[in-house]
Amino acid sequence: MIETLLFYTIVITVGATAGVSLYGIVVKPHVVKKLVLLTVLSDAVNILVVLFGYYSKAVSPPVYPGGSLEGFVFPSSGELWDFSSVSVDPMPQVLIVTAIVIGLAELTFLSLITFKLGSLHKTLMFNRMEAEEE
Amino acid sequence: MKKQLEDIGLVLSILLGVLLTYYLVRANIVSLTYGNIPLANLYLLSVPDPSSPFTSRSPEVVTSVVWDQRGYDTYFETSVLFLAIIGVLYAAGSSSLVEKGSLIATVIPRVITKLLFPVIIAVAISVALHGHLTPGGGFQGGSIFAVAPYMYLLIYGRSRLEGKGFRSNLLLFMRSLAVVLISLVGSIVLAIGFLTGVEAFLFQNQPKPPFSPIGFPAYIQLPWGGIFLFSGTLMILNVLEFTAVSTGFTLALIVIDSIAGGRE
Amino acid sequence: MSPLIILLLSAFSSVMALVATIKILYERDVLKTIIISGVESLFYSIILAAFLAPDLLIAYIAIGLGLNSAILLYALRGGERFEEAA
Repeated sequence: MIETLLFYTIVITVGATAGVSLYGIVVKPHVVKKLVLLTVLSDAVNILVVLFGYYSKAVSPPVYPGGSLEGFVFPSSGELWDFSSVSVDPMPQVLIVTAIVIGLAELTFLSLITFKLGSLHKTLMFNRMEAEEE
Repeated sequence: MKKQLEDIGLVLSILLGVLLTYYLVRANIVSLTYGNIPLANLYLLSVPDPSSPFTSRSPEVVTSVVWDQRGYDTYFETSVLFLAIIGVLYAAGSSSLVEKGSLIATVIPRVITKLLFPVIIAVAISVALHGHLTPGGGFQGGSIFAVAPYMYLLIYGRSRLEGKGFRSNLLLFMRSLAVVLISLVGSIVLAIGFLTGVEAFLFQNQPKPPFSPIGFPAYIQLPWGGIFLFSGTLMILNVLEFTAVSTGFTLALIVIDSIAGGRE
Repeated sequence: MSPLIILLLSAFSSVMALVATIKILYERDVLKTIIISGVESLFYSIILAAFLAPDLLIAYIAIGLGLNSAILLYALRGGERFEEAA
């Protein structure tokens, strides 16, 4: 019983973190703080999606043990049934691997844009950046 | 007054997050008692099993789903990565890559960098090469690899890094070559199937008996008896993705460091 | 079920992650928030390790702990470091 309680506290707190960082992105005027909270939001959501695949009897990651370059004794269907009954769902992890790597590439782009934005407007405070009058 | 408004907003946002996740718990999407859903079992049962039509003859289900069952989608995610880095280059295009004052760091970071540089690269390459057997793959290996030149760049400056072989145009060329090769490897089987009039799929890895008989070989019989298991396109795409991600991130870090580095 | 201690550890780290996010929200010095976001990535990598996602753990450690905060520091060079409560 304590395990389910702990698991649901984890899920709820990660959801709360996503909510808080979403609020921070909207409210806080400093552009870099928005970027920091954006990273926190994307990480929280990634963690939430990873938790979709977990269940109480899961003990092994979605990798069948024993693989090596020299060769791999392919399992029989019986062994695979035991493997699939204790393994975590691979699908959320597949989607999140690329999401994390693209998160970094996007963050590089965003932080360069923020740097140029800041040096152009002489300030990083969003509410103090006036648009140029044409 | 402003402070209370902010606190109320914070509490409301926490409630919103909790509400959303509570819905997920109620809808049994995030649950403990639930076993593997049929889709998960489909992949877990069929990928390592050589007799099933959806096999990719690799024990690592995650990488084989990333590159074999979902390869076409991963290809476009790689191109998103490619475009993000091109965006960095384009945004930095106007100001030239000026060489900032090379303020050499003190002796301790220099020695540590010299020691760690080959270690990080070895770890990154091993993670990328064993992607189809143990947890890892092109994406993970590439992002680990990007730490080494960046650390070297911070400590020794860009000129020494370029001396070590990480020149910007070489990185850009390697990157574009890797992404082109990824699309090539993905469409080879389809091209062969098209030419020989046999049905084949984009990013097809292993032959899928009822649908298409052609596909990549899963392993090579080594002359001295053992077999070299590379699970068809998985290892090849992992290596290519490793070069694409590592060169891409190294290039982006070099460019952003020379633009916003500013070591006066 | 993974042993209780691992669940306790990940529950602790997720609560600490929430506390870190609230701290980021109320912190005026943006440089400190970048460091706190790095620490928060550590908490999330603990959760990833506890819930059997080694593929993500390898990618996330290199990216979340290492490069994320480094790149955010470059964004901060464009302007002032302290956030006035405007």
